[in-house]
Amino acid sequence: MNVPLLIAGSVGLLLGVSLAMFLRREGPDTEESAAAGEGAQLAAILASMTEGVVAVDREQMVLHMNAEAERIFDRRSIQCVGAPVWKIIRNPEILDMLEATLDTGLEQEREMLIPSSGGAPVRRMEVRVAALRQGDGERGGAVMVFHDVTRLRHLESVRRDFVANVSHEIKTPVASIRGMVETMLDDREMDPDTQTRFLQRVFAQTRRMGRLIDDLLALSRFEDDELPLRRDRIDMRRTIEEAVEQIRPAAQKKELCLVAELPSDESFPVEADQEALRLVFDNLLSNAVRYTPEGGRVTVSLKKVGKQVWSEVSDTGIGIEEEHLDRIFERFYRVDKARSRELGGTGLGLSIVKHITARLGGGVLVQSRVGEGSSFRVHLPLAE
Amino acid sequence: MNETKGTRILVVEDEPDLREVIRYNLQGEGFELIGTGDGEEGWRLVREQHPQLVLLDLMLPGMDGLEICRRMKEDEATRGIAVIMVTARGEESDIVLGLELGADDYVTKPFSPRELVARVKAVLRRDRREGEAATGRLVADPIVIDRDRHEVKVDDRRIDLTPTEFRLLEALATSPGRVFTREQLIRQAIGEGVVVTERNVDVHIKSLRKKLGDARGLIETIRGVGYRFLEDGGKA
Repeated sequence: MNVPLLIAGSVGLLLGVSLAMFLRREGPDTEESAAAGEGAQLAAILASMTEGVVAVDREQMVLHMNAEAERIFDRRSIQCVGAPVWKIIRNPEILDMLEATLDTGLEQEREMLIPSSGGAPVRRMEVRVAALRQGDGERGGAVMVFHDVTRLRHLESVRRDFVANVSHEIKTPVASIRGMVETMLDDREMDPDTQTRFLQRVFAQTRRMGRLIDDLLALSRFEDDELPLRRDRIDMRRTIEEAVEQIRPAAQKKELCLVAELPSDESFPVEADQEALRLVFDNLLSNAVRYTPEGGRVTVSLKKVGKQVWSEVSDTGIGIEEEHLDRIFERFYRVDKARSRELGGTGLGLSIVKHITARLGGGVLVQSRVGEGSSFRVHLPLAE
Repeated sequence: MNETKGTRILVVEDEPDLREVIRYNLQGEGFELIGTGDGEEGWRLVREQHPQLVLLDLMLPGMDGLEICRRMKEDEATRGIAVIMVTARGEESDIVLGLELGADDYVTKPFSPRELVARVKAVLRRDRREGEAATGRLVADPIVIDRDRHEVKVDDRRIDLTPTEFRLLEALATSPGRVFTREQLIRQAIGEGVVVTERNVDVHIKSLRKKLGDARGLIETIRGVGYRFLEDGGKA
């Protein structure tokens, strides 16, 4: 998480030195043309940087402003060079930092919200101001580097929320288990029926924790782009058949009609990780069975469409309200928390499906109507 | 058993197993229990059933626990009902907010049922005690607070406290076992409208503790939340 910040820092320092050379442009002709070449190169480097850079002289006149800084402050550098910096950057906090550096020669660093220009959202910036030193080591102004950390901070907050969610999801079953076991230990005269009921609940809660841990491990494995996924040539039809057989007992228990519409004379080769692909269909099928009332119907179909394989898992279940459709693939997002838990969901299944299909070069789409059912379509590239 | 008989407790907790554990343990102590897993339903039960105490989970479907607490304390008819928050998040900001809204205490999941029963009894006891007039002597061995003479003795030895320190000690010792946030202590001991930072409270407490000498341990710091005066002289 710290890497981009470090880069911003070192870039700032490096620039401090190079800019001083670039901005001086003195000396005999030969040196001048060499310096001009170097200057052009440096200007190109500055222009392609993702950090905003503004250099000013001792009198706070703008010496240089790179393309990103133009975007941040919504100015054209051509109008800015030579102008007083306070006309360009109308932010007292930044100007204070600049003054401090010009006064003391010390580097300043602060994170702040910079209001948008032209309707763009407010951004969180890490601002660094360093003294600009001339070739002879004398201070000749300052260089300001603006590093956009909006996304970084957002990711940090996503991570914090995730950790908070996980700890909540784990603490809840642990609280029940601890409460029941401690009650049994304390109450030696508990009647046998209550005792049995408590033990069954403890058993169910430990299974719930087991599922949660399995799902968390699967999610962290498939979410991590760095971890390679196996790419074996797999017949998707066989994977689906296996997943259907596994869910059949649960479907029968609810007297659901489980139909696999899989063309028997055709193969559907995809390049995928066998285990990951199974998880996709295990999750979609168990959701379909879980959220379809007794006597309903769950259908899996498979077909080729252009260079893709499409597989649809549809049910005649309770359906999902439109307002939730965008969010059901988020980790721990539940349409109905109590029902999800009662039915044994961890809140992670669809997130796992989304990550796996994306990593395999495909995706997943959902269509649903409340009271009529839901349909999830997985599409993956057909192997050559 | 007598003190619990006929005392009605409402459990608003969306995890059915936990609700059952709470119900089993409190019923075993003679309390009368009602419960629900839904926030809206919980708020309805508060108004219609008038329990003496509510055990309130913070993360609830329908209406969250903090909102129920807020409504309870805003409503004349339900303001007097004691509230113990039950939270899995353990987020200090939620706990502080809940206490400031008027909750009496909190437990974090996972908790021991025995401890929960003890907390419930302590809050109900405190409720009764707080109904009594705030005059006369308050004894929390070895501390004796004489409200009328504005005097504090530790082991029969008089100690000199500033008015703020006196009020802080009085507020804490009047409700032993109760966790006060710094904000609440400012309101109670320093006075509303006075500009004091929360750190300022820490400074007063530090000085107060120093003056209490060996009895300083009676004031416990609850990290991230505030302070509490130990019950039964810290012997329980």
